[in-house]
Amino acid sequence: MTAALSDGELVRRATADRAAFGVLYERYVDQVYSYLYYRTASVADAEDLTARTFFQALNHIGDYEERGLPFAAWLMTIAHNLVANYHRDRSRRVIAPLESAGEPAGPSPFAAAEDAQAVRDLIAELPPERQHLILLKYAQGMSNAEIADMTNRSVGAVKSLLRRTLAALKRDLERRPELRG
Amino acid sequence: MGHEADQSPARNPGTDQLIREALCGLDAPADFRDDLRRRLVGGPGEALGLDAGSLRDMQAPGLRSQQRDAPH
Repeated sequence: MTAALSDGELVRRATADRAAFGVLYERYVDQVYSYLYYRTASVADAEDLTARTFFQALNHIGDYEERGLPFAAWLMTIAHNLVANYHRDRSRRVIAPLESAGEPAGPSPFAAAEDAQAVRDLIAELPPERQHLILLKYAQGMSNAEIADMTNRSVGAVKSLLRRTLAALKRDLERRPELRG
Repeated sequence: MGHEADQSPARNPGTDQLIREALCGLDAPADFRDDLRRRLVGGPGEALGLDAGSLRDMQAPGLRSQQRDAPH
């Protein structure tokens, strides 16, 4: 059954079979959307960039080669490049949107929504490079090795930057007594 | 995506958990995702012979499950 196939096999089929691409879409649309939402703080812009990401992936699916970089990471690279262009075009600081990001529409997924917003505010204060790292790690669930492949860094460099970033966040969290950190 | 042991830096378990909770649980709006799927590949599951529920089940280990299950 198509749904049980690996990403690699689906990519191979997707060059000639839209249904195979549809399965890949279903697997990753939420991850791409959430990444773009946290980078833009706009449902409309996240939707627009999500659509662009998948159309670009569909148009270039034949260019993808499964050599170390998982399909999901390839997809996130497209999303990352698009959102970078988005911010450049709008002359916005990349970290600005999260500062104003409210709760997504609909029921709050968080047990403590105010805490979650406070954490997002702190993440928004990070330099863009570190914000990107945190989103890949925690919003996308990527491993250090996947992030290293995607960002052309060594695993050690990713770990080091992550450690420094978390230490900084921890210091900031400790200044907020209402949070558990 | 990966679930290696490096998934969660052990030095800041509290911070780690707070970040996971803050960034989890955001799905694309259903009407948007259905519309985009139609634009990309046609109607929901029409080429696959699947219903919408089956399509949702195809999703990769989701953000919420990844974050809930990841080691700390």
